[in-house]
Amino acid sequence: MSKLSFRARALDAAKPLPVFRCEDLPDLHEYASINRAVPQMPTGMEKEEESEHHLQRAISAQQVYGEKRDTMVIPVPEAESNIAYYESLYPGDFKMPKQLIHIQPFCLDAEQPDYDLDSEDETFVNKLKKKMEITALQFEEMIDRLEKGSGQQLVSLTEAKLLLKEDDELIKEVFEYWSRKRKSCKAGCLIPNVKQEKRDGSSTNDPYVAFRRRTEKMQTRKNRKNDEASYEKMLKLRRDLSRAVTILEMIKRREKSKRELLHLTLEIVEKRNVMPDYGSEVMAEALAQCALVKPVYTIPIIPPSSNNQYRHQEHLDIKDYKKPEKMEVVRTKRKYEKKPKIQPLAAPQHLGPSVFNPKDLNQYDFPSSDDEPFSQIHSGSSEAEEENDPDGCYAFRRKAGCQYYASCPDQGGDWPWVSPSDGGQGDLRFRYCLTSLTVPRRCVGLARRRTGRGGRVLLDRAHTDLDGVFQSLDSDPEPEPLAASPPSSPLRNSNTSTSETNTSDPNCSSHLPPATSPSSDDLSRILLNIKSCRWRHFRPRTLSQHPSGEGKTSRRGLRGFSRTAPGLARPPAGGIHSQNRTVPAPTRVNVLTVEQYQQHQEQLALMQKQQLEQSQQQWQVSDAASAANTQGLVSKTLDQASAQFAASALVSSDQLLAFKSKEELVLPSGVNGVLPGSGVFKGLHLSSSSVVPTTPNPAPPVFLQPSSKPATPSAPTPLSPGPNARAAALGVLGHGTANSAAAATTTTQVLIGNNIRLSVPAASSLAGRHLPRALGSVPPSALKLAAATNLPMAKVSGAASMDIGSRDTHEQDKPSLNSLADNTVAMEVT
Amino acid sequence: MTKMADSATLVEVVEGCRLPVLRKNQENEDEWPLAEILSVKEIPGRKLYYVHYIDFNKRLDEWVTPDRLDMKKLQFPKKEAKTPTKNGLPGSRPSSPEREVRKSLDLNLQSATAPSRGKTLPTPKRKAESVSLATQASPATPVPSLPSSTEASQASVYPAARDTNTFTPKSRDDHEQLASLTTNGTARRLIPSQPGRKRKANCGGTDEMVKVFQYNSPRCASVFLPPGEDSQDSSDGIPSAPRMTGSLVSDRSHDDIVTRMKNIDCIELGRHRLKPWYFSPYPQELTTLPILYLCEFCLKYLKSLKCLQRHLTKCNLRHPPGNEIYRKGTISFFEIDGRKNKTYSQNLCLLAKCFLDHKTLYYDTDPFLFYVMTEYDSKGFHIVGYFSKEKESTEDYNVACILTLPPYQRRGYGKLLIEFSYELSKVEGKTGTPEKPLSDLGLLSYRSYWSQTILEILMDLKPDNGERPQITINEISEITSVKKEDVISTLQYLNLINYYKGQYILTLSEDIVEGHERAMQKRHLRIDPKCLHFTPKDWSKRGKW
Repeated sequence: MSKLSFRARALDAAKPLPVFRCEDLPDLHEYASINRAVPQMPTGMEKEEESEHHLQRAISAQQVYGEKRDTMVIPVPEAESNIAYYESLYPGDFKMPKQLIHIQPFCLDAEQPDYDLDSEDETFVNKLKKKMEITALQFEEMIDRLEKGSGQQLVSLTEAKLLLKEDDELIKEVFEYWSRKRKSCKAGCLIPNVKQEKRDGSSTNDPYVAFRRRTEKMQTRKNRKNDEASYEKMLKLRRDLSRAVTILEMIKRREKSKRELLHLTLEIVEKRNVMPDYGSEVMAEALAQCALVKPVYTIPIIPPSSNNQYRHQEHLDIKDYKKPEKMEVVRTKRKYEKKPKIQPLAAPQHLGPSVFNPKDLNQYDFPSSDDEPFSQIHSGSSEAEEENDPDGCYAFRRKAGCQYYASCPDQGGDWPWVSPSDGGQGDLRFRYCLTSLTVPRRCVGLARRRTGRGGRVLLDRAHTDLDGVFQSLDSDPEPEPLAASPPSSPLRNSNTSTSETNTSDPNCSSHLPPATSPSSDDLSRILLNIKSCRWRHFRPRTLSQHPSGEGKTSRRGLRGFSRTAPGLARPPAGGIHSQNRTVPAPTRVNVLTVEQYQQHQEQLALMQKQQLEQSQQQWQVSDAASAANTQGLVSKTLDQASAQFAASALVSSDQLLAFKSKEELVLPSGVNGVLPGSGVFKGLHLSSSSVVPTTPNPAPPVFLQPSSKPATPSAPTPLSPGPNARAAALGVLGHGTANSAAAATTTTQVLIGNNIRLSVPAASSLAGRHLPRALGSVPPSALKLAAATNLPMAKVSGAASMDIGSRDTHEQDKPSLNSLADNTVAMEVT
Repeated sequence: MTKMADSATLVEVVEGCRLPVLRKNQENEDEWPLAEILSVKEIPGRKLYYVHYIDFNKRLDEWVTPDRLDMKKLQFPKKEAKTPTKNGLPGSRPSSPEREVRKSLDLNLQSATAPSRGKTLPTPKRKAESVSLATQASPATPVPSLPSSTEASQASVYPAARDTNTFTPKSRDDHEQLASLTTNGTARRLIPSQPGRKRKANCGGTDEMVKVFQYNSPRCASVFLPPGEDSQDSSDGIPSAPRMTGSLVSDRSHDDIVTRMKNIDCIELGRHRLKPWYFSPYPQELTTLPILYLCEFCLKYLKSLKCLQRHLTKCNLRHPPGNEIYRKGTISFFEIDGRKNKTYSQNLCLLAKCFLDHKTLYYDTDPFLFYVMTEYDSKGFHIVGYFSKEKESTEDYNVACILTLPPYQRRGYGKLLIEFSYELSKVEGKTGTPEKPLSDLGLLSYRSYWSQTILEILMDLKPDNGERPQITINEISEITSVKKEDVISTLQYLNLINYYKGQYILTLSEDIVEGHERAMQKRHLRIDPKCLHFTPKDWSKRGKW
């Protein structure tokens, strides 16, 4: 005990402790008292429990015996095992998987109802089974939905009907049972659940409330944002998926109805066959009755004789079921088509290729999802079909997403061509003008052109007392030399066989009074005007399209295919360069008169001459440019080709400027230099003469001719440089020159497209950048085309080389070009 | 016996009464331990009394018929003076029904206690602070309120208005603290209106305090500065939630009469029927059932066998719904994320609560992982036990709650669970300790595991170059992943640490060695680290629990 004063050092956990056997230390007990110095560690138990009888007994027993005896264990309430029915309750067929079990985070297990049927329910279900069809699981599902649909308030019967998808009767039965049971249930809920905390926090002390949400999330801030984002993504995913489910369900329903419909139709046909109602009189009668009862949709009957109206019977038969009943009456189809109420004027914008996109058509409207798409125009429009279906590609097709209304004959609607007095817009473009036809060559009097449904071009004629006079106007045999007359609307459907018409020049027609209220006074003034204007009346022309072939020029939309937009310089309307080498145009039924043919031959000759001229002038101009002259250009502005070239020269020099910075890099690497593109006219024919000034092997220039392929259906309008650019790009591609050349070409095109002065350098670089994309979107047919055009015209510009020096002079060139452009406006080359 | 029953009818036995109650001990002998009546209920024909045997664990509480009550020794409830126990501390906690509502300290005190929330061992600094507080307090013991001082002199004061006092929280709280702190069994009572001072007033004296700190400092401190859970039961109408970490409550924050009594009579789980030990917040409507049915695999609770049968047609689980991270023989461990698999985790917690007194289900299961040990047979993977673990523990806990289901107890599964928990810690490269407080069974199991683990190491030490083998506590801790404090406490418990000739040494007595060898022979079930396929996740980086 004397050592009590001795203070033991604290136990150091890092200090090695030698391990002894007690027998090795006989004097250990002498030091035992010091053990107290080691701080007592807590047991970690609740203080009061520590003193509990059984624990103390057990601990002491352990300390005494080193191992607790059985009698010293802490007693616990008895539990019994071996439930008799256990074996039958749980299936005993579970095989241990070889691999460790890994739970997939999202398993696709069907959601099982949380509600479990009890014996009371079972009797009810068994009773109900006698009346209607119900399974225990179905019952559980219904109760589950009802339970989960009810919050504080019970679901009402109407809500229940929305909630459940079963039959109404069944719902009613189950609902009644459920509400009865729920009312008698003390807990207020048939699915027992652990009590949730209340929002107001009043449940803090309720011992039955468990698993409260933690208000303060122990989260690190950095991830929170991410969590939110992914949560939102999950929400979206869930929404999308559920939408998909809905769609599938609807498809299922649709297919079911279709099958039903098919059966019904079959039945009707059989009935009619039995009747027999070959003339479809009975049918018509029935339909008429149906129409009275059900004005919206009825089941159409396809008379056997009308099959030829449908080019794709098996599809259309079903498809037509959906048409308004008006359409369903046999043989009213054509009449219907003539009513131009369907398409608003804005629609024609999309009437080009998109309307006939078979994909579009196939997407929604067609009977079944696995029906093969059938094309409307491009495929199989054989001659025979054309005969049978004079509307050809303009045959009425229902378009997805469109609503079709019945016509209202007594109301004009607000079409642009309807006069304001009738509620229309009275658009100036739709005034009646004097019109003459090319074939047969005669004046038809006052007429107006407008676009009808499906892009049909319609001529409305107005009857006046002066019709006879108009007839006599036809005496003038010569067609006007293309008095540039902007069309009233772009002719986007020029690749069709319907006749095309040109509307009168706005300059001219502006003198004309609105044709909807023609008075004799006005008409006489019209006559005067017309005469003073050298009879610039509207002359519809059939589009002349030559049978395609090598060496033939495809001409189309030759005249007046310019915009009506005011303020723009009139294009060199006649400036049409046709290449001898043309790509085969799509086969088309064309009406070609001898006269037109001759005219065309003349034009061909002229164009060839021009090309020759052009190439020569290019030489000259390039010389001039190399000499850094500006005045020489102006002198040549009268010449179309020179204008072209000048433009191209401008472009090329700008191009060079654009590339100047990387020139050192570019040139040694042997990349083809900048190629000046030469004239492009009216977006129809591109001719790009490529000159590679800096590379040892100048790429042979080529005249690009994107042709009149439908690949660029809107090409006739100069305002659409897009397709042109594409065509240009194609040309370049076919030729294998550098992209920069394409850029140049594109720019040139823009230049010629009446925007002569507009930011050429910017455009060029821009075009260059966009080129690859443009290429990507070019249809393969056009590519082929471009390949076909890839016949070098070495003689034209093979030797033509642009002096590099011109780069330095481009600044001076530009103003001159501008003036050149101005001058070019008046130029007409036909 | 009939006489007793008669007397019971004559004298009203109310809640709070104490009297000897007959029970059979493990040797099936009759015993008459003192018990307290916690509740009385009347069923047709007779009365039933819910009794708690004082100094026995709550799990043995039961409903008894009047004939088991020894009415002759009936003591009526005393408000203040609880039966002093032999060591001067009050008896097992449940002995005072008054405690069912815990008082909160006033706000000042709360803030002061905030740092000591949870079950951290108090740091020396805090001890010192407490001591100083106590020291300062002692002169201030006489508070303005007279009753306290007067009562202080009376060992057993019988408050006249017992019932009202039952729900006057402050006084009871004070009392309890007092009871905990003072060793002389003197009950003192403070006026609730003096909350800020009561604590100080409670201090019996500096000497006592020091003594308490010296020997039981951690516990004392935790009583001295009650954890924040207390405050949630505050009567001032400002409920505050318990701390959000951990899974156990060290005090009886929910220790009202409801949670002190078992509410489920019987649970059927697979082939077993379990008698719950403690309250569990299963849906209240299910507590009246004679048997609560659980699906053996998803642990869903069902009210009837019919429902269970129906449920089994829909439930295709044959194992806990998590990833199997360990399998050897028929023993498997499944890891379940309390956040991803809420339903199962909650069901598991509800079941576990039946056997874990201090477990709290106050908060959701999100921050926990559950490791469920199963035994395989042709029916599937049957749950044997489990432990939960915080994904991120600020206090080195590697186990939150741990339980071997009663049918599997005393067969080595508990140790297996513990061993597995330390294997996980080894993979994580951390040391760990179970969350406190431990239950009696938990303490025994852990001590046994720690003892065996440490002895295994010590016995395997080979002499180094002819010198005595030696080892540091840190080394033991690193090898075993047992936290340093637990190593020390085990060494102390086994009486291995001795101070010998100016240094600490470890001594192995023959008894210890023999006892260990015997125990290890019986320990067949071991965790094979090679069968563990576990990759610890860094939960702090996930920003999620």
